Amino acid sequence: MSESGNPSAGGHVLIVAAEPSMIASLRHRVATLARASGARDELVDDLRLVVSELATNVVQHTDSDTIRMTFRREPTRFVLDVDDAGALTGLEHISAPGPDRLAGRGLSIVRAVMDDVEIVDDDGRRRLRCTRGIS
Amino acid sequence: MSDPLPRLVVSVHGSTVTVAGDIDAHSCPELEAALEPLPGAGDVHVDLAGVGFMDSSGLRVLIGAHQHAAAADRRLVIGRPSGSVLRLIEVSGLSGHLHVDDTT
Repeated sequence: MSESGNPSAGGHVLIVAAEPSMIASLRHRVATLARASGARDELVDDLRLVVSELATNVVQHTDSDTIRMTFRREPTRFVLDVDDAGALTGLEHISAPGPDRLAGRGLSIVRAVMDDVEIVDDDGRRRLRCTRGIS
Repeated sequence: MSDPLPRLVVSVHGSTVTVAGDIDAHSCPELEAALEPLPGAGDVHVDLAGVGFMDSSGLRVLIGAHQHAAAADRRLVIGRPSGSVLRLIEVSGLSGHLHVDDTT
């Protein structure tokens, strides 16, 4: 895992190979950073879930060799960015699949536990940005 | 360097499947192998007391097994889920669909 930056100043960047075995490492690392940044247990649990879903999307639905995430604590919210998190066209079409659907639940789960999920363009890099307010 | 992260341990006794560890895209094939075909007879109990984390990869396996059980006139009962697993089931809109037993 390659890491740089600071969660409270610009963001902490984490890069791992896009392999299923790396998803757990990423999950644990973001949970540790979030806890150290003052996130409560419930939010730490939700972030672990979000990291896992988004990392899985990169592994299963993109050609990317790496998973790149940025975790940042701002004064009023926590922000998690992920590069190339799958086919990100038309987030508005994502809704919770019916109870009989097996797959395709990842992004709707992310939307359910975060306050905001949006696509941002950052210097030509397409990212999925998830935010959750600090209560 | 040894792997410090918890690995998934799945054991089957009769129709009870006991799982410990984290269930994600990497580890869920082990759970899938224990539930396909469904073990034992009657209701299948999946004891998740030892599972601290699960994501939609695990949910996919459980929904599939739930459907196989229903088709065979059996039930898949998810036992002793942790708070985070319950929340996953809830935010996925599956609380009223999957059989969850958190009483024991």
